[in-house]
Amino acid sequence: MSERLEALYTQLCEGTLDSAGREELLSLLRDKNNRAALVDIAVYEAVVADELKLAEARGEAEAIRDKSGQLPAVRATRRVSAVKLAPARSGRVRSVAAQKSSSLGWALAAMVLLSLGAMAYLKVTQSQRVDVAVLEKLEGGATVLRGREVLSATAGMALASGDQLQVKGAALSVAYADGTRLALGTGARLALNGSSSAKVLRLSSGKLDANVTPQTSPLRLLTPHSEVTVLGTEFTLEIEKQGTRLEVNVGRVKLADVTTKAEVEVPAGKFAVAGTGKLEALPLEVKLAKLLDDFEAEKLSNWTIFALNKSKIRQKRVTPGKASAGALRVDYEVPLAEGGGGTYYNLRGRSQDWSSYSGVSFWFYGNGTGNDMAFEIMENQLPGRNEDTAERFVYEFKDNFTGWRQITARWGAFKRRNWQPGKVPNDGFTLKQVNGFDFIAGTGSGWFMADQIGLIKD
Amino acid sequence: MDQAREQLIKDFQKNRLRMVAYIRTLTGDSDTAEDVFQELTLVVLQKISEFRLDGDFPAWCRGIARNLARREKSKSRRLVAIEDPELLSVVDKAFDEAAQRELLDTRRTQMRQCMEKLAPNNHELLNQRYVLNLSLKQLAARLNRSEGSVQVALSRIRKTITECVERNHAAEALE
Repeated sequence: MSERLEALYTQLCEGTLDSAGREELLSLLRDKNNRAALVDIAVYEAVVADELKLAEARGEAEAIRDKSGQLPAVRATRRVSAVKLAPARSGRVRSVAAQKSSSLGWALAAMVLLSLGAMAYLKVTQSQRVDVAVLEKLEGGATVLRGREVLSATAGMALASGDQLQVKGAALSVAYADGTRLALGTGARLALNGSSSAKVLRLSSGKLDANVTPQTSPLRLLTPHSEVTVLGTEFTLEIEKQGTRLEVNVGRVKLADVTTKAEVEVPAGKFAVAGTGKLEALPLEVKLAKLLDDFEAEKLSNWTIFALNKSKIRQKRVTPGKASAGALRVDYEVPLAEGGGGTYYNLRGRSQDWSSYSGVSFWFYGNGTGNDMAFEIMENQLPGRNEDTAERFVYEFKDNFTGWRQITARWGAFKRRNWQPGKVPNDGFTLKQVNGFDFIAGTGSGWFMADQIGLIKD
Repeated sequence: MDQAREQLIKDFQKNRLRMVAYIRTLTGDSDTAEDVFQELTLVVLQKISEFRLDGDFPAWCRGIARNLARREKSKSRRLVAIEDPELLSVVDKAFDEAAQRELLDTRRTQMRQCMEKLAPNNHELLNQRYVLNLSLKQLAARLNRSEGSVQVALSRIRKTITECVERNHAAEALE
């Protein structure tokens, strides 16, 4: 029974529990012994994860010691409380009194932690720390998980091997002595391992911009989907729901997919996504063969909003755009799963033949909501009919990134939409007579922008 | 801060992994659980003076954790316990009943020793599962095995470790 309970618990945690599984789990948990078993499994997993992470941090320190034969950066310290210890060691961590500029919550928390430190409620342990970097810049709140302690991050704070950074506020940056800089965005979680010369980093969520100076030993950056190996370059790494996206600005970076074990070298100006099953370096910016709309005109005369089942949609032209004067901004509230809404570009009765092109491309400004989005194409409206009889094909994507990103969808990535209006033809995605296109927002609320919509030709 | 509340904070720290396990059961994600626990630590430290000493402290902490977890989960669409009142209630009851019970979080030394005895491939499997946070599906693809067989392998490792911990604990008790 325990194995079945464990399987259902796993499904619950992975979000794959169906309604039958839910009923079975609830039924099992009516028994007190099974409730106890569930807690045993949950605590076992928490302890195992904690032990493995601590072992990893210990192992990295050991590896560095073995390699160098000495520990110039390691200082044996008696750790009463990391909050208390850090200012005394580095002299760069602001005192609690000096944290007035931080938010009240963080300052209060640090004060309470400090007072608790003074009471020595944290266990006094002999420990060795390897300082690897400095928290250079901090905007908003962030925490540092050091062993079992949760510290309030401060600018100038020395960071040690094994520290885990969690960004709560806007952003922070980490600097190494060799000039390597890592900038983390909101929600990013980064574990620093290795040493200042053999850097091993683990990014488990969020976005990281890296400027890596030439390294004697490759910098390794692990994510849930990938391993990135770097000798010196500038790149951006972002963990999204479906995979880890790497964009390279300068130099070359090797990206390996941890699931398929495939590898690709991504040169400057290209990107690749690990974790999707298909690992390839693609251009960061695609040139348009035919421009459909760049929002230079001051009015959105071709665009019409639509909203279904209590959804609310608003649109306006905003300035500046991604690459031109204007962009389309759409605000949406879609409360129901069967709802939806968006904005439609009408070709006004003059259908276009897109069959000689390879796909569509547009710039999309995301807000990381995770909401479903789609770019829809309508084609083959029956001639002489007033009602909508155009067949729908969609390219689906998620708003799971922040800022502008060019989205390119080749025709093969489109699929026939489940919902079609009444009597529409079902003659395949011919692209011979395109009547219009639109952006659709799925359940949720937020806003997005779009710019430079056009067709591409390979 | 009075002595009673200091003691509660000590208990809270001591039971850290129990709370992380509870939050993970609600959110289904260990990174989110760690995030929520960090937030929870700060809230508990800020609000401890408001806690009535005749109240149920673990239940108070779980209540705050639930609110924080709910906020985190609004970012995700997966069906998890935090969005299911019936599951939420039974999970809360399970952790409430376990509050006074000795769990694996109190036997860390034995856990460490038993994990060190694992075969390298099993150790690697645990690493991929609990450090890299790979899902069963990802693990199955990586290992070229079915999801079911990966689940069975993880289950066997758990059994091996828990039995080893129990044996060591019993042996230490006899000494």
